[in-house]
Order: sequence, then C-alpha cells, then structure tokens
Amino acid sequence: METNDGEAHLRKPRRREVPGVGLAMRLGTELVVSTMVGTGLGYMADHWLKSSPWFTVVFLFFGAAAGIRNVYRLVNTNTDSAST
Amino acid sequence: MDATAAALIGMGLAALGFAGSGVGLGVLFGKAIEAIARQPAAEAQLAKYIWIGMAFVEAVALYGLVVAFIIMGKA
Amino acid sequence: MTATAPVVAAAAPKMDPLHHFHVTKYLDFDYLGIDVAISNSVLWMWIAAGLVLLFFHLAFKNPRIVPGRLQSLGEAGYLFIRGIVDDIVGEKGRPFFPYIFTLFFFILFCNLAGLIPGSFTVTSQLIVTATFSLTIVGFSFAYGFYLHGTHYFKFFVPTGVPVLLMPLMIPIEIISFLARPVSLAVRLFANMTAGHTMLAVMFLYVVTLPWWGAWVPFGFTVIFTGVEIFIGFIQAYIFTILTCVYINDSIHMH
Repeated sequence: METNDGEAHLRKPRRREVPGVGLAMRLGTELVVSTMVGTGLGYMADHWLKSSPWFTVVFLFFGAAAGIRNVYRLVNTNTDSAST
Repeated sequence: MDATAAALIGMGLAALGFAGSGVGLGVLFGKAIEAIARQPAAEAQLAKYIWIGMAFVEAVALYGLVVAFIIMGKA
Repeated sequence: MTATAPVVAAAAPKMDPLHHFHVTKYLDFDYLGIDVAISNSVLWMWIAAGLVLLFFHLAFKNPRIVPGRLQSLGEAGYLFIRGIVDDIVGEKGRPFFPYIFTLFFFILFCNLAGLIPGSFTVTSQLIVTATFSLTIVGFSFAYGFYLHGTHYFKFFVPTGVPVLLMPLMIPIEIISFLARPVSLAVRLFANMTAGHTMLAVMFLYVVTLPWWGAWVPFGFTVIFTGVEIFIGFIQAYIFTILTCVYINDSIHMH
C-alpha cells in the first residue's frame, strides 16, 4: 500500500478491496444474509397477498442465487490482481 | 416432554450443523494444500476456488445457526 | 444441565455468559415519548468517542516535523484511511473522507473498549450496527440518485445478459442490493458477539475448574484476547472498506 506519495494513486480507482482474512470473514455471511433477505421478502409478500407458500419458496431461490452471485463477484474482483 | 425443553434440544440439534462445516473445512483445505503441494504454480488459480468453496462450507454452519435462532424465537 | 445448574449457581451467582450484553439504564429520560435513557451502551459510546478525541488531541497537540511516537501513530492512521479512500473511490471520494475517518476510528475504539473487563461492547448490539449500515447504504442510494437521476436504476440491470434472462436477473440484483445493509450490520454484530461470548465462556471455565485444570482455559483466554484485538481491527477495516465501495458504486456506476 503506497500511501506516502499523495497523488500517484489518484488516477483511477482500483477494485482490490480486502486482503485474505477480511475476505474470509466476508464470504460466509454474504451467502446466508442474501438468502435470509430473499426469504424475508417472500414471507412478507405472502403475508400481504395471503398466498401462503408460493412467494416464500420462489424468493428463497432468488435469495440463494443472489448470494451465490455476490460470492462469485466478490471472489473474482478480489483474487485477480491481488497476489494471494 | 415440556415444550420449552424440546425447543432447547432442537436448538442443540440445529447447532450440529457446525460438525458438517468442520468436516467440509477439513476436506477443503486438506485437498487444497495437497493440490498446491503437487503443483505450486497453480496456487493463484486455486485460491479463487478455495474461497468460493469456503463460502459455501461456512454457509452450512450459519444456516444451522439461523435455524437455531428461529427455534429460539418460537420457544 | 438441570442437574448441575443449582450447584454452579450456588458457587457463583452470575454464571450467564451472555450477561455482559444486557443493556441497563442508569438514568431514565423520556423526550416527547422517545426513550433517550442513559444506558451503559450510551455511556460506553461516549467513552469511545472521548478516547478518539483524546488520542488525536494528544497526538497533534504540538506537531513537529519529525514526529514523535504518538504523532506518527496518528499520522499512520490518517494515511491509512486516506489510502483506502483514494484507492477505492478516487478523487471524488475526498468530500466523504472526514465521515469515513470518523466511522473507522469510532468503530475501532468501540471494539477495543469492549475488551476492557467490566465494560460494554457497543458494537455487539444489532441496533447500533444496523443504524450505521442503514445510514451508509441509504445515503449512498440517495447520493447516486442525486448524481445520476433515474439513470441510476440501470444499476439494477446487469450488463451482458440476454433480454430473456432479465426477469430472472433483476430480482436477483435487487435482493443483492437489499442484502447490503443487512450483511454489513450482521457481520460486525456477529463477530463481536461471538468473540466476546467465547471469551466469557472460557472465563467461566477458569472459575469453575479446580486450580490444576484452570490454566488451560486461562491460557486460551490470553491468546484469544489477542485474536479479539485483531478481529476488532479487521472488522472496523472491513466496515470502512465496504462504506467506500458503496459510495464508489453510487459515484462511478459500473
């Protein structure tokens, strides 16, 4: 991390976000939280529209897909340039 | 059996999901180290898949935790 | 559990490892129906904020060209956060630097102050971390909307995806956006709570085991306190990084 010469790294933002340990701590929660948010949205939609299991099931899978997509994107942006 | 006691036992059983996560982490990192030892040049490519696999393995344990918390809310 | 519980309870009255997460009110205030009581959570937030102020006041009280120990620590902290902001957001992130700096040091000092025995960990309350994360994500959404107008909603439309898959991809993108504040809050909360509960359980073993067995959990607590300091730092760092990433997403849309 070259923080000593103020202006050299101002040209374009880089997308290397977190080194190893931070990445390890982010990944697990990302997957679970996405699934939970999806399921919660489906549950609320069911509660609102009185259509018991349908939205919950559909949004459960949407949430899981969102979690997997998040994890995949996170790993792709963080391991390409960084030398692990 | 008392309903609260049954709920507490259920919480403990839900937390057993951590065992699966432990097995998964052991297999994952054991195999990963083996693969890197065989082919050290492939480490940078393998790292990506190790992280993705770790996310899924860790998620198993956290799903167990979520189930335990849901049961705690019902009890 | 039920057979041994009375014996343990007789030996020491407070054997609940979750005891130090309880919010107790010291002074009860009520302002227009809103509960603004001074609890131990509020008190330790003030202490953490006071420690941050004290640290930077002492570090930059009489600045010199060749910095002393405290001053170089303060300068290192400043350069660290500035490096993060410049790395991730770039030049347009400069207006947000003071907020991100404050956020990092407040969370860091809250995490570290929670390790003092008898203290209260502010960041182990979900409502505190949820307030932080909802503020950040709500602000970044509003700022992106202010900068880009309705064009900002293209954020939810992924590029390079066939039109046929759009009804599938757009809900996924929306859910993954809504998961941002939740995961930000839950991560900090869960890490702090889990670590401190672990420490409390180990200390409970130190008290309940006989002297020839007690040194095993005691040694573990010594090591684990070091790990907790590291985790407190890493969690504050991740929180800061993600704040920068979200602000960057609303400035430079991908």
